[in-house]
Amino acid sequence: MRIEIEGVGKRYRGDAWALQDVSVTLEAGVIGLLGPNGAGKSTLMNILATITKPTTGRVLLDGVDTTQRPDAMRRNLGYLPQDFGVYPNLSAREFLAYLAAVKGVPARPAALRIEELLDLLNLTSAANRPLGGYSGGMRQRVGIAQALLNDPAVLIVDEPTVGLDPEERMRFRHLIADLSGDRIVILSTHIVSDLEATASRIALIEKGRLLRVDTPEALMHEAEGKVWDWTVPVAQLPDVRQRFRIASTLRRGESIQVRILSEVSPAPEAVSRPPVLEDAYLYAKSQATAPA
Amino acid sequence: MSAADTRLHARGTGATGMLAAARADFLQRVRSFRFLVVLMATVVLGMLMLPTQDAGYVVLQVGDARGVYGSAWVGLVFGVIGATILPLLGFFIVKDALARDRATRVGLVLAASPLGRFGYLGAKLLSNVSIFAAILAVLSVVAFGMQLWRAEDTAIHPVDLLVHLWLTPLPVLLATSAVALLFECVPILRGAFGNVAFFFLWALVFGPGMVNMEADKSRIVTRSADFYGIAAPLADFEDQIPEGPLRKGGLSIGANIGAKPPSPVPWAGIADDPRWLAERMLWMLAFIPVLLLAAPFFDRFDPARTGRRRVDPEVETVAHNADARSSPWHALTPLPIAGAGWRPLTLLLAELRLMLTRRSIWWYGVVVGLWIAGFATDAGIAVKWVVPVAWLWGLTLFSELGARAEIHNTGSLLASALSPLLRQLPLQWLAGTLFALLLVAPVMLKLLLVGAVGLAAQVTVGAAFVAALTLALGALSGGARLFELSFLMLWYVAMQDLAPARFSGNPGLALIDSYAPHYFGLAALLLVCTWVLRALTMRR
Repeated sequence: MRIEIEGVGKRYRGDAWALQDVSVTLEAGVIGLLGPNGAGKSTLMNILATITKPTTGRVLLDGVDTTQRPDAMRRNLGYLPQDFGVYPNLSAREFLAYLAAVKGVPARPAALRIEELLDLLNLTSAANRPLGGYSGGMRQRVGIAQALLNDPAVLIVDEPTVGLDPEERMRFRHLIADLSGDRIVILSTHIVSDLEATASRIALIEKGRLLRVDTPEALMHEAEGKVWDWTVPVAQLPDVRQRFRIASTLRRGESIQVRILSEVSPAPEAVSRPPVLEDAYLYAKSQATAPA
Repeated sequence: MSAADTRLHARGTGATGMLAAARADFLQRVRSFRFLVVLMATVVLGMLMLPTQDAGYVVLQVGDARGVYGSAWVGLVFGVIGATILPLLGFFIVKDALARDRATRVGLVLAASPLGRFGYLGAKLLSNVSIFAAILAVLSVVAFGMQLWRAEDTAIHPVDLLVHLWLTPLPVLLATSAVALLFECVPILRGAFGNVAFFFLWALVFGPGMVNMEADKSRIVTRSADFYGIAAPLADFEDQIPEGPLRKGGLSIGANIGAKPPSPVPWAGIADDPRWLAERMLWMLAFIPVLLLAAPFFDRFDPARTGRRRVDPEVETVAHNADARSSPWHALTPLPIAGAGWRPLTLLLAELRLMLTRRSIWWYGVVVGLWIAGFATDAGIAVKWVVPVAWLWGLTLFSELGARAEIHNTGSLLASALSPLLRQLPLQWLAGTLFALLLVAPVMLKLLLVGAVGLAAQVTVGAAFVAALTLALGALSGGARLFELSFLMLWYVAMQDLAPARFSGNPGLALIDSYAPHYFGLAALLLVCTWVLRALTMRR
């Protein structure tokens, strides 16, 4: 299965372009859409999920234009929106049964699939309780379960780890890694660590434009030799901030350890460090947005 | 800072905070498409208030007379409608001040601010009243325009027009604003039940109390305590009507369709009557006891007091205590058919289950009571009384059916399924129709047993109409209240024995002579409208 995104753009009222001229081909594996809040990730996800029509361009699923024929995508789609609701009077089991019927999954296999998903997502013990009493994290798990109901070949998950505690987040990452195989999994997030363990490719989006698409390894390779740890007095931090691009800071008593992205060593005492994905993301972003 | 300074500062912060909160709430409301629609509807309704002699309807008449369309009478017509009809419609417009803060969680932020309980409720009251004031302002402009357009008396007397137009309804609208807040504060009155309760409060208590005539319909009764402020100006107008046949015929407020055109009588108004003016000013304070009553019920968005369902600690405990999941994704049983087909029966049952499950024991109890009543009464009486009452009882579920995706934010989940319009909409309508029929199942059974197939068909058409109406109005408004108000008004008129409004069936008429064919056509039209509206909003 193959998704081709060709020159996709989306303009909202007031001539505001949320997305402009995005072109990329997606194949089996996990592709992470990474970008700050408001970058256009959710708009792209909504277009891919056929919730929103693009203003320009088209999306092809195995050569079929899903803008014209959205059911081609929907037949293969599992979708977890960033912001979704549940019916508070229904239990998780009832809610999933309802959505299985909406998705056209036959009743008997749906019942079995629901039990297995409840088990997989650690919801079995609470499955008969009304969803109105669920916490945000548990509702998110129900959302993940509904996205997997129809055994989708394309799984689109928008900010799936929001509201999950660290343990649940870890479990979700494992699930996504486990799911990929011959599926196309499109995972949108602004949390870089969500992608570290799962993404085979990463698409960087900023201000509605696709900056680049590459493997995590390639992104990290590019940042090699550009990451530095430098311990400075706290009072010096504003000056360092002004002069360098900072990836992170770590307080060490009266001093502060600053992680800097720079082509050259910021100071003789700074130590070169191997990049992690977050460094690579920030570096790639700075390179792509730097004036020519 | 001294204690006195602190108190002064707190008071200052409270007043400023209240005004700021009221302004923000007002701006949030008026900067919406919905409010634009309300204003447009206001203009249209305003233009209908002064019908020509051959229009076929009258809005306000005393005996067989109405005022010449001069400033005073024009102001009074708009003012009377503002005091009688606008509170009903306005209640449904403004009753979301607290709900919006609850939904957006702005309420939590305000609750953590120095704005006190009365400051907050005062702000919301001001916002509600500002909405009414905006409507009255639009009506004022329309009133001036209509007076000139009708040109029966083109001399503009702004004071006469504005005093009658504003002072007549303002105390009632102030009280309505406070009642809307009270209904939002009391948990049981927040939802559809409160809307139904207000409708009957308006229809059964306020309605007949607005203005009365003597038993022989000879004169309007003026009273010392006239909350609506209508009796005094109408009695004054009545005094201007020449003795004779024009005085006969009672009083009519609202759309009196098919009435004989009344004779225009000049009227200068009572804008200079100090007693009436003083009474209107005093009645402005009527909202205070309502607001005082509301305050103890206001939960200040405290999760421990709020009516919203809280996180069930037991659910969290069982979920966290469960063993960490180990079974991998690929261990799941593969689905026998790749992709998805359309299983209408499964979806229909799912829709019905969604409507019927987990209601309170009282809800089911009343349904059983209605079933027994349906069995026990004569078929004709059952259609006339049990069916409408049963559908009124199902109002909350009907209204939820129309706007479920919007209310619970499940739109994107449903829209990403296969052919959402083609596969979901007809079954939602069918589920609504079946639900309506289920509520009156014994009546239907009885009708079929006695061979009243035509009447059974009328009831079935009524059920289909109600389901189509909620879907259409839900799609149009994105909420449940427009349907609730429309249904209640239609229901009320139907129960006044007005045959064309009897959507639930006319026991005295054969199918072909009844209004069922009209309602059938209307239901089809509403479904098409729903289809178009959903298609327009689904993939923009």
